Amino acid sequence: MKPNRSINQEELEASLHRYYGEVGSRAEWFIETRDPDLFTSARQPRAWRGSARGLVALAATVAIAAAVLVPRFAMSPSAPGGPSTDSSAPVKIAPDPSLSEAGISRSGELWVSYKQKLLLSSDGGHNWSTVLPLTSDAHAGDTVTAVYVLDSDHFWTALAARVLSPAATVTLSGTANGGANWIDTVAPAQCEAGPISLSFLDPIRGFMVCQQENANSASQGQSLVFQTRDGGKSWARQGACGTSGMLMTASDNTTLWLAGQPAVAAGTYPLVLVSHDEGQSCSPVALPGVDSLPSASIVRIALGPVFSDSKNGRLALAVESPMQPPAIWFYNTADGGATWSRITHTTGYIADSFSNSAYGTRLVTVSVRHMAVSDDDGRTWTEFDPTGLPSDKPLSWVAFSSVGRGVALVLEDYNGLVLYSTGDGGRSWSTVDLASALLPK
Amino acid sequence: MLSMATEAGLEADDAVRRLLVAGLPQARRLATYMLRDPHDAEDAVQEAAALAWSRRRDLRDPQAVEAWFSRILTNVCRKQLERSHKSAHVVAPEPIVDPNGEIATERDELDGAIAQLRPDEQVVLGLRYGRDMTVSQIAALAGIPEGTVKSRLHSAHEHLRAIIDAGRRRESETVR
Repeated sequence: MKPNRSINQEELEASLHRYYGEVGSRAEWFIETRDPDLFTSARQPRAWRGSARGLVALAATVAIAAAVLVPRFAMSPSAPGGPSTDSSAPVKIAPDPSLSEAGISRSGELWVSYKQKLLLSSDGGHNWSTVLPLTSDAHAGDTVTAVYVLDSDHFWTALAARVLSPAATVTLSGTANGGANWIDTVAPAQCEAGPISLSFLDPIRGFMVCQQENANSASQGQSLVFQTRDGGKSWARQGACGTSGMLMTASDNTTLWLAGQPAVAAGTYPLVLVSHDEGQSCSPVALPGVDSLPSASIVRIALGPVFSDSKNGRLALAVESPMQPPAIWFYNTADGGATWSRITHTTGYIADSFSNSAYGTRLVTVSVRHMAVSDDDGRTWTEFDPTGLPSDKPLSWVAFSSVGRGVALVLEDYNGLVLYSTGDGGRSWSTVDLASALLPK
Repeated sequence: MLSMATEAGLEADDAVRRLLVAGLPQARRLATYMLRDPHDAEDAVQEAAALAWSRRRDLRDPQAVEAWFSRILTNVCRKQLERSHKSAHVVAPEPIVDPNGEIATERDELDGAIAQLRPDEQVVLGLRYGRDMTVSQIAALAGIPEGTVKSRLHSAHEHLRAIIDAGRRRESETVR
């Protein structure tokens, strides 16, 4: 008999471990008793399935058998004369796992991290003419896991040497001359496993938040705050900020903002945390309306917090609440976050993804088929269905550097992201061929 | 006579084939954790293997075949979950009852609840709890930002709790 009460996080995780332990046992049993290797014997489809997937399985088996068992000379690359390419068709860009990060620099340029290069655009994503190295030669094989771009001279990265190893070594690198020279430091031991977030106020002062992995739990560990006062040459541990999320921004020398868990049931975790003492301690931010949400509500951080200066900031929550249509709650502050005013925008649909960053004058909310933009801090909205974006793929990030020009990262599939750009305020989009930007000029 | 390029390609094919075959048991485990059914997992491994083979020339470093194939397999599993996914709103699911009419066990409760999650959430749960992978490892495997993994993991937890709690409330009302 199941207990007649709510399940807490600890119980849930314990149940999940037991459950997946049983799944693992079933896998082992199946592997031990299954047919011989599919690569060396074409097997019959399981009669009891009799479904379309059975046909897929059969087709796959045949394809593999044909590919693997036929003589080697049949395996040469496709000969010329294959399907012709219609030059008028939209440019198809393959998703790329190396396209991992994007943002807007403090100096206002759009940037993307792509194939260990930093590509910058000063015209809203139309041209990506500035290409800079994102690692030193010594770390050319590492994986870029975090980037912060102050301007085209000053940027910092977190690099994982072997991301598939639990004992990955993480390097923090910084440059003050556009990637010509780098200063590398080994990340603190507590930051080796968890994600890292970087934020710099100027070329000298910056913060880093890393999340400790909790080996015995899927729940996120403590968010540890570190500070540098020498451009990233050294990092000093400041304090811990509960189990918050990683989106982090510094609004002045001493004030640090951490967006909480990306999606929470109302009342379970603080949505936004602030530190006024350089990260030594943190406290939850009181956001009007949140406390009165029903407990079954799901709240996501849709935006920020982002600050245009030490006083003016904004953040947004996506709220799914029983008995209420889905809505985006936008918050603005003009007093450094001491108080926040709320504007509600009822979307009327459950948004599947949101812009995670919206800067400048344009606010954007996105679902897979809808886009809404506001140019007056959320007071009025224009809603439309954008064209050119895949209708069934989530946007993981969207930003505008001006009202007209903007870029979006679309999660095409698990093979990676594709960058899209717009020149008409988001109504129509087309893919950006970043690979061509890397070609020698 | 084969050209040097073709010969090199064939050697690479051999390497890919050997590594793929060697990695099949691991692939079956990985797929089972994501799909929670070894038969479905077998289908996914076959589909992924065919896909991987057709794309083998995209693989620049044969030594990276395991990670490369795992990523393809993860994608295939996610799409398989999408095909079978029924749209679910997390707040008020039906109670899960076994064939004998008795209230389902913890396993059945979780099984039904997980099936209602979004495919992306099911995938990260399987990797996290089945394969005991860290957020970084899942991100590397799936080719997505770590923040996205964390977001999905957390929303999976929250959705699971909401589904299970709603089921228990409904069960409690039924008993009354």
